[in-house]
Amino acid sequence: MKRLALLAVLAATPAFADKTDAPKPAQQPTAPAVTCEVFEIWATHGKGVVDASINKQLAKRLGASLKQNDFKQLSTTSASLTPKTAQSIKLSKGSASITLVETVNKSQLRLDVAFNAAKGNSKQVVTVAAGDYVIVSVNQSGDAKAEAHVLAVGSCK
Amino acid sequence: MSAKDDIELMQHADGELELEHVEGEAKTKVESLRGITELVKGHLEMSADAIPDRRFDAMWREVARSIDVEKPVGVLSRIRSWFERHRGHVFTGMASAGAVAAIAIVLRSDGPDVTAPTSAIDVQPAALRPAPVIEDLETPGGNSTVLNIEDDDGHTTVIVVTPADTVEGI
Repeated sequence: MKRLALLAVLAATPAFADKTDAPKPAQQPTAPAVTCEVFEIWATHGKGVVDASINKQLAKRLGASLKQNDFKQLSTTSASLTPKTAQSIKLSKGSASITLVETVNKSQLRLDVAFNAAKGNSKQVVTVAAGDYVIVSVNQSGDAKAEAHVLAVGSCK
Repeated sequence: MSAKDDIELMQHADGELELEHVEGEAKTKVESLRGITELVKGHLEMSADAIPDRRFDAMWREVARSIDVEKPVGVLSRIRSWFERHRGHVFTGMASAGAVAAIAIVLRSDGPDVTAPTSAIDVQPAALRPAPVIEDLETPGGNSTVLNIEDDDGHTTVIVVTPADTVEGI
């Protein structure tokens, strides 16, 4: 059992080694970070097939709001947003960036979302509650059966 | 007196043999033998008293172990018996380790403060969330339609962009 005590002493030794007269390093200010899930989806008219990788909550909202009914997930990103810093989102087609303008009442986000779709683009500033979704769907043509390039941002926390 | 007679006298001195007419030199021998016997007994008793009790305990444990050797001994029994024999050491070691660990924690608390990342935003229940507000919307070369859908899961703002030269429904 003396060995056990000796091990504990050895474990504590770095504590003595660290104790120097050097001043403490200044604590880095931790900017509040918000993490949002970003989904890139390709929407078409078909038989109502939804990728299993798309969460049910989002799939339900896509089905309720868009004319298209087949949804294929092209990419997904978990974006860590810091205030007033544009966060580029890597997409399989086009590009996007999201800026957290500010947080409101500690439960809402003011987001600046720029979406350059495969064809067409959209830029919007929207205040959305944490947990809710913003969906931008850019139709790729004027046809009634047009496909759409969709960017969904939400589930922020 | 013959050697046989000496043996008889020793038996008589020990109370093992009754002799009649023990007198003179024989009587002196018997008394001397009884004196020597008393001396030896006293010495042995004092020696026995001088042995510490813990030595007797150890001797009894050895005796008990030799008696129990015939019994089948399982792994758990061996562990239990080992712990019973060494529990003093175990507790001492644990107490020492705990004390040193506590000292280490106290000393290390002088290091730079580590702040756990805190969530910057609270996710409220869906029913308490306000509806989204679109403050600015630009769709160059296109028309936009904004929908706000509310259900049990909360709100969803949908912005549908269509090419500008498109007439819906055609």
